[in-house]
Amino acid sequence: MYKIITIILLTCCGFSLMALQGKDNIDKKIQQVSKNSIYQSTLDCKHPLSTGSFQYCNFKLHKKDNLVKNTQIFMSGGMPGHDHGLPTLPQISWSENEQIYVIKGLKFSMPGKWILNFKINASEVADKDMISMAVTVN
Amino acid sequence: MSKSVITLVLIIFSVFTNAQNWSDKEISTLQKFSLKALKPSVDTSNKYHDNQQAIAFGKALFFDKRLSSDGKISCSSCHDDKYAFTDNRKLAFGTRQGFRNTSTLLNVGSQDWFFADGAKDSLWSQALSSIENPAEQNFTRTELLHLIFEDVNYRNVYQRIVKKELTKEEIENLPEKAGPNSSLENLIAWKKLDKEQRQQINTVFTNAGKAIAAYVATIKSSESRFDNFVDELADKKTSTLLNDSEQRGLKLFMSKESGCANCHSGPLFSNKTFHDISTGIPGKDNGRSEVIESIIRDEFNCLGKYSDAKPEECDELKYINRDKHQLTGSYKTSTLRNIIDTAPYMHDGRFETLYEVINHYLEKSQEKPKKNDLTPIELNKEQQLDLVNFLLTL
Ligand code: HEC
Ligand code: HEC
Repeated sequence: MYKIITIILLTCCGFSLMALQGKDNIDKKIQQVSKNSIYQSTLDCKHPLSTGSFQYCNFKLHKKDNLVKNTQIFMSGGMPGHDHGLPTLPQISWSENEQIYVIKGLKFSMPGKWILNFKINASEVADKDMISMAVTVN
Repeated sequence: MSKSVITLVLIIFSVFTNAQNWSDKEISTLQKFSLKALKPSVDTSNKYHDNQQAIAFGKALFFDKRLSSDGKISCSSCHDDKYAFTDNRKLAFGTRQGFRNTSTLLNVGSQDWFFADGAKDSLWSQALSSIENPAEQNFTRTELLHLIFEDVNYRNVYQRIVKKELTKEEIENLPEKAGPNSSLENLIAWKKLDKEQRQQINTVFTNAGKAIAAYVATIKSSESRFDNFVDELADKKTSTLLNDSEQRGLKLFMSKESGCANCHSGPLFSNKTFHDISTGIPGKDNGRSEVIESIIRDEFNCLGKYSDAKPEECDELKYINRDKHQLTGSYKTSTLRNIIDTAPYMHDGRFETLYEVINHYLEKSQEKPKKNDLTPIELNKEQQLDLVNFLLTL
């Protein structure tokens, strides 16, 4: 009898522990190498990404170990699981003051996995490349 | 002895296996949906947003039937507080039949875009479009100006709000009826005015719109059974303010299985943006994609000269999604608050009941090839009942 009770109690505890373990996936700083391995990039956001309001993020670009400044970048993105794009049209531009690319107008409409694409439109044809970054939105 | 142990174990067991057990993480997610999480409405494009005199003036205009070509229609004709500020009709009927279902105004001050397709970016530019819309109030800009000038109460309160006098010379030479969105005759009268006159008329017109908007932004819902439930849950970790079926419905609503909370999120139960859920009518009503150009060109938008906002306060407009292909058939995610009072449903009022709405989701989410923003949703009869029971607590 007591054996059964113990089993039941243990099962209950197990379930409640499992429930407690679902931890937040906090994506604030994400690194990614470009498709043709020309660039290393870092996306750095002020807060963990969330839905509903504008997100404030910076973007850093390196080629080998050198900072790549003031090149043209086009940004796009979407949610692969849902076949839809970003709800806004964000802009990314070089900030001479901060020596970093600043992203403005970025928003997410749903929680889950999103892909952000950065098309590096460098003046040298050989330096054109694409960066695809997976981010998690809470 | 062993009997009481078994009872105890059974009690513990029932607590653990009960579907209505809420984890701390779930509770903190639910709190993001509570009315308490709703941020106060701000509109930097409207300098009278919090002005008490403007709110009172706007309220008077909202209920004033003289603001229509036939003297029979005011905002309140369609936005009736008896029906959560809707009209309970399938399609609105003003000076003539419209083509959209009337939206609730409860909590509308917290939206970013107005109308089902978000054709307007502020409450005041929205109000102006209703006044001029030939199917709604069909009123012209100069008629409104004359009305405000000739009604001494209106004139006085208007002058106190804008701190500038409306002079007889300004008004007297203006045609009785003139406006750019009206009949050909009234349009010609409008074109005949010089630029300065048109701007002066637009200033009074937009100020009246801003007063109406200031009032509309005060229209809010009170806490629902759902909100009270979340409060008690946060406090005691358990609550019976929603019954079992309603709580199961809530769990389902929040789950990946239904996907509802992907779009119907936050205190309004809306992510305030545009999605294609296969409600568009190709060739007739494509929703968001049809209004992007006109929003950008709108003289009454956030970046226009009648707006009180600084350009950096117009991010929604500046970063507007221009991808018409992606936006075809998209509409603003409806708020689900007060849903019990806002039937019929969808932008064209096509569904009488929430069961029909859910059926739509079950059907359209399975369609192949996939044409909308929905992931496959499958719910049995009991789950559908739970979901509807939950929605009715909002
Ligand atoms: C003839 C009926 C009618 C009249 C009169 C009317 N409305 Fe509306 N209203 C509607 C309909 C229909 C919609 C939804 C239209 C759409 O989505 O395209 C709407 C939408 C709105 C919205 C947007 C709600 C949202 O969530 O996007 C606001 C705000 C609003 N009306 C305020 C007003 C004000 C203020 C007035 C008076 C100046 C007014 N309405 C007059 C029928 C009316
Ligand atoms: C992909 C985003 C999305 C998902 C997921 C979604 N909805 Fe919606 N919902 C919308 C949009 C957009 C509208 C407005 C469509 C229109 O007006 O034509 C809407 C409208 C509604 C309405 C009508 C409200 C009214 O006042 O007219 C109800 C009810 C509703 N949804 C419930 C649900 C439920 C329940 C689920 C989960 C089974 C769900 N929605 C999932 C986007 C979504």
